[in-house]
Amino acid sequence: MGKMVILNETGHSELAWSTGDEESVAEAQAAFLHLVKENYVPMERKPRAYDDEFVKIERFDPTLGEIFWIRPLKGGAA
Amino acid sequence: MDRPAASRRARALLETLLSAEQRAELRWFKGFRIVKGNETYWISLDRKVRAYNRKINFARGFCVAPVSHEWIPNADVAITFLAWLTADVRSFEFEAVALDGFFPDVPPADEDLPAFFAAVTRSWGRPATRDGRIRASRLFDRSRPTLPTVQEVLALRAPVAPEVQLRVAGEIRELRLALERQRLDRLLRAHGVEAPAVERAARMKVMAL
Repeated sequence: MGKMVILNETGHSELAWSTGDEESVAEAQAAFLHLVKENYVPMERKPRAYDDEFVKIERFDPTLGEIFWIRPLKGGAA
Repeated sequence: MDRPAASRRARALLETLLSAEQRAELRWFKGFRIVKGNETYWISLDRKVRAYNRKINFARGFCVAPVSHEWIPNADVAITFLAWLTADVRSFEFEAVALDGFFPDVPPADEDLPAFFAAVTRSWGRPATRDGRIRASRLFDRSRPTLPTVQEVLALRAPVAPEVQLRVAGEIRELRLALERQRLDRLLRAHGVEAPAVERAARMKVMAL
């Protein structure tokens, strides 16, 4: 069971998939490609004992637990 | 969904990503720390990132923001900074523009860093009036931050538990005394004053402050 968390104006929205459910995996795959085109950056959340860590990922893997969609940064912006 | 509701959802999500200590910092100081080697980054809920380097005793702020065409809540901005700082700190440093930094007179201890960052925030930021406009007289108030007053720290994080207020007040008083002692030592040395009686009297005066 995996989940995508997309940060947006509603706080965030979520999209879940299950490795046993091909339809949900295909839907997640399509969403992944769409969000990459939208210039979001996918990062896997890796829970640790004291705080969490994020790792940038390149492609969709249905075995991942949680993917956060983060916006790119721009310096000098207000 | 209205903005207050979106902000609440974003804040709840942010809290799930933080350790118990970071959550406490978020609650009392409206920000939280991330330590990367000698560098301690401070992500605050006012969409800002600041840093303190313990090795060289240097504090600085960054001008950086997520690229977005739509409004996103402050907590989501904090999550964005958190993700970039933990995943790829080099990309963050490459993109962010460092603002005016300074060397604190007294290096803050690790446990004092949240209060330190909260106190210097106002010096880096531009104080705005209630309607959101910036007062012309304070527009470029970039005076170097010094040790915060008790009132300044407490005003930034009210309501605060009384025991925390007392502890912070005590710590700030000790820092102020240390600074005064340092200043006095320099003054005495500059004037070549060696007489222990004079020094003792001066120290007594400082201690009585």
